[in-house]
Amino acid sequence: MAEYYITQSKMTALMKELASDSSMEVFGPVKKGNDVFISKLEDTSELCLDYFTTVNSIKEAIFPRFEPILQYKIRGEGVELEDLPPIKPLVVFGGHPCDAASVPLMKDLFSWDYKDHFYLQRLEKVVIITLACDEKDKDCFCTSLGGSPHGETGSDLLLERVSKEGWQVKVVSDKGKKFIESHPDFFRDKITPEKGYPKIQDKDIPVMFQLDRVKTWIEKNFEHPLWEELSSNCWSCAACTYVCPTCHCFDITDDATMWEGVRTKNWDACTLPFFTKHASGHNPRSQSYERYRQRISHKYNYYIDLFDHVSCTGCGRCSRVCKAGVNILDIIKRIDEESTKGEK
Amino acid sequence: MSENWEPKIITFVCNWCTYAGADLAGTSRFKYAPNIRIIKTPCSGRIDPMFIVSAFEKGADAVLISGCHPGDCHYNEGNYNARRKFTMMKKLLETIGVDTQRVIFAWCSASEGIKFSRLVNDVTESIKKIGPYTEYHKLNQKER
Amino acid sequence: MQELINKAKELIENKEVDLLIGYQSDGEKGAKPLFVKNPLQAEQLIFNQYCLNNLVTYLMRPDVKACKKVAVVAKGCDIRALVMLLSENQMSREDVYIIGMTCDHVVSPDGTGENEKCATCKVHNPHLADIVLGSPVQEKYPKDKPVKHTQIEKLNAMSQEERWAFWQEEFSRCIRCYACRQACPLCYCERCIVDYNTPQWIDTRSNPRGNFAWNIVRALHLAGRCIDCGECERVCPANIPLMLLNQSLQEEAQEKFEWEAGYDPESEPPLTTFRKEDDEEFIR
Repeated sequence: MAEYYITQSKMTALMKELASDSSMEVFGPVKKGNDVFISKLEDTSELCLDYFTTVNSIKEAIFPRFEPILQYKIRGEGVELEDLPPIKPLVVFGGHPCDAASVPLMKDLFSWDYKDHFYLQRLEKVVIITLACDEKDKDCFCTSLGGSPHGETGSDLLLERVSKEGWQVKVVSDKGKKFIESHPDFFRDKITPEKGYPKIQDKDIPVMFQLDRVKTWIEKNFEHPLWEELSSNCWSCAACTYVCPTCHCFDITDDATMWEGVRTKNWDACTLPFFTKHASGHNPRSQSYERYRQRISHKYNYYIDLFDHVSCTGCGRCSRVCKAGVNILDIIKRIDEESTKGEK
Repeated sequence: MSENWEPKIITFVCNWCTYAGADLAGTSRFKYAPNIRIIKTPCSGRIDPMFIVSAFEKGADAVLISGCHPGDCHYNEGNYNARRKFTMMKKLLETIGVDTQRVIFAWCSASEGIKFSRLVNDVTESIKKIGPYTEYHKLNQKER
Repeated sequence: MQELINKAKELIENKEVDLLIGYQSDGEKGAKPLFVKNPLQAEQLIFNQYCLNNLVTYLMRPDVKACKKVAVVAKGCDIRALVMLLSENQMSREDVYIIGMTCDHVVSPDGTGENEKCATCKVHNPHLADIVLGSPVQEKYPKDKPVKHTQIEKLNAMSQEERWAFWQEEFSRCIRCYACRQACPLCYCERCIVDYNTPQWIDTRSNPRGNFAWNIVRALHLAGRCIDCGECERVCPANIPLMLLNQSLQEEAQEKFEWEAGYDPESEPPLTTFRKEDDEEFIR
């Protein structure tokens, strides 16, 4: 695979140039307070390159928080459908391999029983530039799910830090190749990695549970009291869902006046209290532990049944953002432990 | 702002005092600007902050709220509660940077036809000067 | 804290309470909530300066409300929320066993310094409790002095346009996760205004329109009720300074109605009452 080298300053300059091009959308890491967020870059945005990981994931670049799916005006006789804003070419920079790994997972879902052209068109137009990891923390567990701090899955370009000033650029896909060819002045020939790089290896994130045991336990223990114990702290907000790179639920809402209207696809979360509230008033998941059980079962059981892959990349964002103290790794480890006891 | 722009002032009035006052202005033929859109509530105490927010979201350039004078409320205390709520609403809107020149509170009784028409004319005049509330209308982004 | 563990075990073993909500250690992250239903779980109870969560927020959760009686480990600031719940008739005094913990200050484990709220705390020693644990702490802020918040002064000094630009920037990161609402002990409505769709009062999109509406309305629904625990701001994943909104209304309530929420369960929250002489300078 072809390799190049790019310095931090060249990368910043490249992102700035792309961000000032109004014919495209660029997403990159921006600092706010003590945290870094993947945000839409304007030409005035200050890129931050010194961070462990971002609070949110690259998800919102390809799967917007809200997007119009239908627009109309009522003129004279009838309803006039309006064209939706065109989907611009996208560049997403600054996610980690655990972000990029979510992309094929989302693609499976959005090309399943209904081909969601909103997602698929953006996916076609996106160039994903991933930063391999230099650090990890207690909430990381990509390796337990077949991932790696240097994983290439889902990326177009993978940047491996090889010196204090810059990264080795691995061209993972054709789109990545084309990207380099369109911006040749920023990339140099690859260099010999300096001593001490890469800073972390796969072995620095030990595998912490056996996924197949976890799935089997979840399959067989819908009514187990452990669910309530594990999720008692959860106060049913949507913070974990919205920062998760693989969570993809959405709501459809209408906003209209007498003369015009728009139908929007909006993020939604199965953790929120009214997610499953029926028109009759009945809510099959009225308790927070029922909703949390659903969240884990969806990711670690049902998704595997449907798509042969766990719907989690082990990024740990949900655990980091949860201020109620719910930690997905602790929960999965506990389930794994439970699965080794007795018959079940 | 086009030449023909006219402010749209959503006006919440209580049924017993201000609505009757507006009616009196009409029957007495006191002229007032046609820019207000009256929404009648039973009492000024019914006013919810969402009314102000919704009005701006949907294109209002100003919101005018009027009820009975304290002591004269048809429901005895509604406007006393309203007065406290209005204090809070005004403060929060100021803090958040909403143009509070565009949120006007008044007490106007059933016999104050003149006051009502003058109030409407004054408010319309001042909103005409500061223009449409495009800053708020721009918030309604359909796409990111 | 052995005293706490012993008391917890006693309450559970005597069946005085069905559930006790306290804190457990969360390693490097400090502390996190713990739901105790049996004496063995009680062994994990701790109390230290990392016990940031306001556990009173769980008291209004349906499964907790269904318990016969609940014990809650609470700091003075948390008890202010409980006092408000009592004065709003959301629970009876007999429904809860308050384990008041004296507290000098709380701090984030990542070392971002003492919480601003602790500098103006008037209840280092719990003002309402069934039992108070921990050594008494010197109250530093005079009880009758209005609380002065420093962060909001910068906002107040801005012009209207600057404030508008400030909040546009801040709310651009709001993802409408409602962590602020769920963590808030006084956001206990069974059906929140944002969950209504006939009419759709608040735009559920995380666009500027929806985000402004949500944050304006939440702040106003807390007018005169917010007890300054700061949880909303702490739990916000997007680092939005939400307390500025709540504190501006706290200051207004203090100035206009001489009111500070959550100290006296007998007192009437300001929006449930009135005085003939209330300010109406701003009303034409």
